[in-house]
Amino acid sequence: MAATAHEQLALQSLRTSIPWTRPSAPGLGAIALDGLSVRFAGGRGETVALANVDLAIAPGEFVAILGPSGCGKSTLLNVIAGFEHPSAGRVLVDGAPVTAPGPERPVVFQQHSLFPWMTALDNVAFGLRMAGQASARERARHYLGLVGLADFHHRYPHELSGGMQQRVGLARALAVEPSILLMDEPFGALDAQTRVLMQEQLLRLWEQWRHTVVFVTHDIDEAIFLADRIMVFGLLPNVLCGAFDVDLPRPRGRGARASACYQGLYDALFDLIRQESLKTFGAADTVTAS
Amino acid sequence: MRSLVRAGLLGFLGIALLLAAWTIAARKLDNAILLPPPTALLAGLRETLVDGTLARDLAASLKRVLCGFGLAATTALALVLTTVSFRPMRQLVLPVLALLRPIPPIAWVPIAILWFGLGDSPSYFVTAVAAFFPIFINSLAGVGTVEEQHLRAARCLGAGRLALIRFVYLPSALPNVFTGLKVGLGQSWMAVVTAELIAAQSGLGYMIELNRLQLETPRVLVGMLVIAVVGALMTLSLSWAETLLFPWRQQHRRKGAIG
Repeated sequence: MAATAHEQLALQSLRTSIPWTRPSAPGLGAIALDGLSVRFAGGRGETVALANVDLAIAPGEFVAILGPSGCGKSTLLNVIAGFEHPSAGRVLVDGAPVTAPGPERPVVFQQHSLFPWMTALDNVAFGLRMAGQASARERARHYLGLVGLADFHHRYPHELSGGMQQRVGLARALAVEPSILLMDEPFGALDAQTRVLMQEQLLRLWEQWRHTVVFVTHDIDEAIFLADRIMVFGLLPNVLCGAFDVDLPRPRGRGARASACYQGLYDALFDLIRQESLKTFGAADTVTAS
Repeated sequence: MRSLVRAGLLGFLGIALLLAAWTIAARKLDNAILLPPPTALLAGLRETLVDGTLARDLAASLKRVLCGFGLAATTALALVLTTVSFRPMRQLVLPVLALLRPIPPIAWVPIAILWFGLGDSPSYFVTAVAAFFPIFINSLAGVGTVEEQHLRAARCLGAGRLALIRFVYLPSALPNVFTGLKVGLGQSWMAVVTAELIAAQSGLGYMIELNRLQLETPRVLVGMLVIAVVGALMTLSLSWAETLLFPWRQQHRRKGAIG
């Protein structure tokens, strides 16, 4: 689905910056993964989704988790979210172990996670209602405006384009004013144009807010453009196989992709992920050969 | 809009063609008992409206459908709730229902007469049996349609167990529950006529059977026509209610009902 004229307009209105103060308490949003392993019992024995991951994420840091499909990057996010539980090791958020999902670290999913029986506004108000906020709808309206969709509050998800749906999903997560935002390939299903606009919008919001973001993606360009730090996960075994600091200045705009720093990082990441991806091709070759 | 008008016109044309063919056939056959012309049906309709028999029989049938349908909806939904809450209940109940389901409602009529005698009771029973299965099966399927992604989204936004049931499970299941009710009502409307043909002293089914014995064919056709119109109205109004109640379902229309 291409970005509609409405969408372009909404994004433009967003660029005239909205007055904003950081709502969540500063200093919150630290994540620590401590010897984390996740294994799934399957029909043909055990699958190791993640092996022995140690990772510390500082409050306000934007970390991208990058890797080929099957590397366990979504599993990592699900464990931090509290949807899945580690087989070994632990996850600490601000020093407390994660046992269940919670509104201080909501997830923006890849797609189809909006409640189809609620309007855009009610979707955004959902978390606020769960928290017992009296003026949930008023506040939801504010967050919907923040992603440029104030005029679409009465629409049901199926009446919105894919890009708009993802922005409602983003607003829904932002509305609970979390210290951590978990994003699971949120722009993966969008067309290239819309994806770039969404990335720019996300950065603009984050630059004002500075909550911790863990952003899972398989798109190298996206990881570099957004993140402070990129953690690369490899295949067979699924371990953390590289960490890269992104030294692009902020705020980042369209020019960021033209810099030498971007190019150098892109090439390094491309080679590393290619190496990792080839392992499955190699494995496939030996299977066909035998 | 234009295609809607065209569809309407073609629909009328279809009915007009049927009436024309019927008129011609009636004239050729020239036998008022085997096939009276459409005009005789109109006369029959007027008579039964004037003498009040049509209203009485229609009311009797509607009452039975509503009672039987209400009974079926209550038991089916209660059973769905218990099977969802207690897993063993599901394994206990499903094989029994799978065994009973292929029995057509009409096959229940003789045993219903034995159990309840003639009168309203066997009709309540048979309409309830007819409505029960679509309601139960669709509602149970509805509970299964809840999407993991929605559960996860709700949980990470702070929803607890009760909130999940109220804000995620229930709205996920409702459209299917409603589809079950819609199909169930249609089934029980057909079943009531079947039951009344055999086991009742009033109602549209009884009216048809009685007038057949008296060779009052126009009145037989009046009964059939009323059954058709009332059944169609029920389906139409429920479909309309569905679009009002579940506006987000337009996209899911392709998913059919299980009946």
